[in-house]
Amino acid sequence: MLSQYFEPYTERLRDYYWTGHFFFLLICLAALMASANLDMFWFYHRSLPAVLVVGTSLVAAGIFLQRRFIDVSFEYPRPLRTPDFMYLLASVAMVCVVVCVTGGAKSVFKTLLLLPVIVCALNCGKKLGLFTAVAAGTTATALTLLAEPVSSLAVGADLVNLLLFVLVGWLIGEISELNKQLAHNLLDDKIFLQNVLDRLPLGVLTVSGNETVVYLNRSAKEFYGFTLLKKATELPLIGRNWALIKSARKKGGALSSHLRGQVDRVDGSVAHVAVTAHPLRLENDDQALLLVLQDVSREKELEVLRRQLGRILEMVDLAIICADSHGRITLFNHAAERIFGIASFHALGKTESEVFRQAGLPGDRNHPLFRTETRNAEITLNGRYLLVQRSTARLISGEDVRTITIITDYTEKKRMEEEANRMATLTAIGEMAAGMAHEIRNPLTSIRGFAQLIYEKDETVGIGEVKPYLDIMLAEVKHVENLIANFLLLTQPGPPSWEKVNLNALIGEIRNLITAEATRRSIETTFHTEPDLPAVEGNGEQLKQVVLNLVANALDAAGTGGRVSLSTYGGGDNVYLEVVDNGPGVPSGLEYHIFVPFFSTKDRGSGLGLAVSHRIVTEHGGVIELASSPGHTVFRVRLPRAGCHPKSLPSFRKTGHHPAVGPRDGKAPS
Amino acid sequence: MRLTLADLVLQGMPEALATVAFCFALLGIRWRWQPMLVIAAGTLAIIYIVRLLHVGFGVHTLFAAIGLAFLITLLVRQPLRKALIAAIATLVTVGALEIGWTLAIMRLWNVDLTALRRNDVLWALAGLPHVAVLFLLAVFIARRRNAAVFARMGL
Repeated sequence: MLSQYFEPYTERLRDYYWTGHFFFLLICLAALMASANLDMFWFYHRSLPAVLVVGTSLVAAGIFLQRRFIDVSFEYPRPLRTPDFMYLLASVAMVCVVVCVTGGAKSVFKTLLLLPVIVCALNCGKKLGLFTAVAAGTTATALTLLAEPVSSLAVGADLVNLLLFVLVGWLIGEISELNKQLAHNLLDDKIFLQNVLDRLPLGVLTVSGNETVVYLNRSAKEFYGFTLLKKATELPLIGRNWALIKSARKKGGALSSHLRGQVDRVDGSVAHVAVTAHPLRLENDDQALLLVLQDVSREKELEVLRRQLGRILEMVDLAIICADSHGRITLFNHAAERIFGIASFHALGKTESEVFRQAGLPGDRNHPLFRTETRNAEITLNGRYLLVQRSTARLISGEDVRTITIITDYTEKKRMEEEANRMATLTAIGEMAAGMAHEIRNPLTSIRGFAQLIYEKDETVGIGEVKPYLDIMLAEVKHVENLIANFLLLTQPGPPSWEKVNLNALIGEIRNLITAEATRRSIETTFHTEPDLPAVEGNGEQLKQVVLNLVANALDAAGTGGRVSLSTYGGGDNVYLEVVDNGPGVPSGLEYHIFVPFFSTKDRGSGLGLAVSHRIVTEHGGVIELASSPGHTVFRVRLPRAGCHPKSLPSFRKTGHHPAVGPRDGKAPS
Repeated sequence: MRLTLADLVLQGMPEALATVAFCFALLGIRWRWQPMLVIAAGTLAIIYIVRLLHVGFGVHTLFAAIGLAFLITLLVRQPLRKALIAAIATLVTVGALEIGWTLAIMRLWNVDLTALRRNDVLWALAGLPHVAVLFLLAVFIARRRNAAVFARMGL
């Protein structure tokens, strides 16, 4: 397994070995040639075949042997093998032969100069090794040359020595540099791996076969306070589950996810940790284990949160449907199952269109459930009333856009509202019926009483004697008739005909009537009408009744000596009519009740005047506003001027015909 | 053995340059004159020094091969293994061509080696043709290895 890591170094070393041996072969050849002391004539007369044979053999041997004749290995410790002995014997024999043939034994002592060459090459590398070798060889040769007499054989031997020195210096220097490079690379790799492991957010530790922790990364030390050379069985969580971890080691596989638990951090907090155990082979220890601790506290919190949200989604009465960018449903909660009548496992993965159509919704793309954005759209499905909200959102930056649909089933609420409305209507009818009965019973009682009196009179009594009774009876009948007329006006809204009405003209028609009544009650009246007041569109008689009702109320409220003012003015698209009195005002809290039929704060009031006025003004597209305080009460009627009324449309006019209903004498009911 | 500077420059330098070119061709290295000249000069210097030391004839060839291999390794970044084989193959070729041509001249002119060595003209004549043949061989090998080598040389 390690061979792949050593392959580049093996190649280089094999290269050096081959080169060294080839070089050595050349040195031997040079030594032989030098010792033979051949001259040029020998070469030219005899050696052409020899040169060709020797040279070609040399090259062929170099090429074919290549670098395979020595087994280069980084095995450590390396046992001595038979080929090694053979190699050593051959080397020694070859050197002996060369020395014997060349007589180089005389200069054997000069080989002691190899020592500095070896030392320099080992310590300082190839360059200084070569330099030392050349220096040593040159020195030896120079010494020989200085000696007398100079022997060419000795010089040749010295030159051969020089080559030997160069060879040794180069070879040892290369190997030394290679070893150093190897050591540096290994160290760099170790530092790199150490940095990587220390920066991991995982706790990493290795446990030897004898259950001792032999390596810890920084996370394991700093977060969990684990200690080197401690027994694995003493570590928290791991110690408790050591039997389980060992079983994984025996099986030879990785143990993961089975081992989860809590570990106390150094800072005192508790971490949820998942432990993964992997079999590991250390030096001569195939029982070692690599343990990886992953802090899953955050993951656990998220899991709890996810489950909470899931539970909430199942509990809520809102149907919640989420779909991815392709429209495929990714969330379909319990309420959605109930509303659509489709189980979630059938809906999940399908497109929204499929599910909605399966539920019976039309496939119309304009349907609120098929639109991208929908706000409070009401739909019905299988007799249920549903409120739909739909929007798209990018839940996580960079993720696809998702569609979220929330459907509220308000069927029950709607039924309850309808029931409440029905009850309120019945209550109102009952109250109105009671009011009507009360209002009619009094005049009837009066009529009955006077009729009884007339009935008990002698037959000879003349008409003149009972005429006052009859007058009273007729007045009461009139009162009842007015009451019924007003009531009909209230219940049968809608003006009979539409025309342009000028409020100033209308007030002019009833001004004398108002002034007379006010004078009778000693009340001061003032009129402020804006010239060129825009006309309004409506029914003049009904609007006249509104004015009379409001003025009558104001006169009642102002009382004797009081002041009532009536004014008109325009503003924007509206025309205003204001009736102001200086009476005690409407009691606080009754501002909205005074428009309710049969509600009155007066002793003799029928409670229909303001209700009828409110109805008429509303029918004319206007509103009645009330601002009341003691001594100052303002009723302001705001009516749209002619041309601005929505009901001025022809379609409304065609359908807006109703019989005229109102007081026949124009008196405002009180 | 007589060895003049004229021999060195006129006959030795072209031979060394052709030797380097042949070695480069064998190794498949692009010819660049600057390193080739330096290597040729270095090899020639080694040969000159060794021959001055009066060692046996032929030793200088082995020294030249080793020196050539080391210089190639240092200057053109080739593995020493390859450079050694190429240098040995080159010098064997040089030796064979030189001996073969000299023997041919001796036969053609019917002179012996002593007379040939004594006559400077004949000796120079014997020393140059094999250099030309070596260079032509180098060109041939280089072209076979890389057709663009001539274009790079501007030829």
